[in-house]
Amino acid sequence: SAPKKEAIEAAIKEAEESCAGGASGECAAAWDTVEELSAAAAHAKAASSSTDPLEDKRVNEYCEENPAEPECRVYDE
Amino acid sequence: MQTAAAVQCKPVCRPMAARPHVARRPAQLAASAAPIARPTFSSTLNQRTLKAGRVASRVVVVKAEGGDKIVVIGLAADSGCGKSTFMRRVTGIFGGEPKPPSGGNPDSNTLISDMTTVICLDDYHSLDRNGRKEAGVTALAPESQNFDLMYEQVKALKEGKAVDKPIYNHVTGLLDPPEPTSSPNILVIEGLHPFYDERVNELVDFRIYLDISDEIKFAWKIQRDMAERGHSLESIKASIEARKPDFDAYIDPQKKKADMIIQVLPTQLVPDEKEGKILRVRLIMKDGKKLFDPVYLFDQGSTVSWIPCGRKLTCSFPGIKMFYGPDTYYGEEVSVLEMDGQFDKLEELIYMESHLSNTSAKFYGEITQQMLKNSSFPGSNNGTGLFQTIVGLKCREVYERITQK
Repeated sequence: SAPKKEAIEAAIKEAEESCAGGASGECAAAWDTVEELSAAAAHAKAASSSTDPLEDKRVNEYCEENPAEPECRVYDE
Repeated sequence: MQTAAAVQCKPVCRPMAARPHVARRPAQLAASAAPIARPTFSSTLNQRTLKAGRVASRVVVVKAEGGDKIVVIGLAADSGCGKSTFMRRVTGIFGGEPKPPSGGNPDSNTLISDMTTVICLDDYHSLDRNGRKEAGVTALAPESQNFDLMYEQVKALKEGKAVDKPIYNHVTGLLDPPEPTSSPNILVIEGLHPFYDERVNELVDFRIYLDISDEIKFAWKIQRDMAERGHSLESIKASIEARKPDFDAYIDPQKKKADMIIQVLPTQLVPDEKEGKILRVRLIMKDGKKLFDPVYLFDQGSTVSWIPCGRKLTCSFPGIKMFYGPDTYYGEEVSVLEMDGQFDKLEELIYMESHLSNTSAKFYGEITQQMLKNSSFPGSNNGTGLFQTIVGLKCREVYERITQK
């Protein structure tokens, strides 16, 4: 799953606030959280997107559950 | 060329049918259908058949002889530096699509394929997100990492034992209940600190470091994050700067221990290129290692600067420039292969591949074929993809040399 956009937004806000007093451990930790959430969001996006409509996630999930349906059959000969 | 490759591949690889899910082994389907909450009899049985199936497929895929040695590959890089793309390229060379463990935690960071298991070292965080916040430390600091457990479990996996590995959940920032992880043929540990602790470092057979220069890191993070809500140029800059002291203190020094380093720098072909689209990529390879031989261009040990564009190859702006030569890296002898620029057509890659030696490819055109297979991955048109693929082939060579002994 992906982190919510609001969570990233909140993390950025929190980081900006905790860094108001200059560089500190809390400031670095807060920006590290932002980085972690952004990376998680980017990974989730990369995992779900595909340019091939037949390889779309929804199709894949459907075909995993119903491999015998005509649109999902693959004969490997 | 494509069809020829497919035919040649047929007795060895799993079928490259359009949708791998359908061609999945029935054992795996059964395992994913069963909800794994408690280790009931049926789930253990399923796991056993799954294991048996995996072993059977190993024999087909690898032609392994006496392969009870487990090879550990370590990959170090900062977050957002292309670790996951690299991982997909490397596992692609060993065959099979890497998948998260079926039926377990949906936020698991582990990826399993027939030959390889990729473990994300974030799973060995000793402090969760809240803990780090209270202590005022980043995930880059060694204080937030449990190196004792990391050493214990990597050692156990290398000895062929199964472990219960914790899961660090990147979405919630919590340490989730552990997942059972069995020992693979090739164990890949990727993350921030694979070579930081000397005990863990000793266990790694082949060390890779992705070294992204600050300019490029900034450009890549803009591309990655700008579309997200709340991110601005300032926030991306602030994030990089806040993490930089810890990065320089704990992560960056690990590159001295690496066997191969992929360095990504701004291009020298175009003055003031700020977008990070055209890259100068250097593959730094340690000399004199038993497990692999460095790649070379034309003549081993000479210094060569080569512009492949000319009568035999038309390149669009800004063209391609290759460099090869011996150098020293933190006091050690290395060979450096460099590529600046990008290619627009495949002909260019096969033309360059034909002039590289010691690539560990098994047939003419293997690098090009691997690149084609993963053409949608970032970096497929420049040196990052090319050198990642070459390092992937070196991983295979390391594996083969170790298991042949």
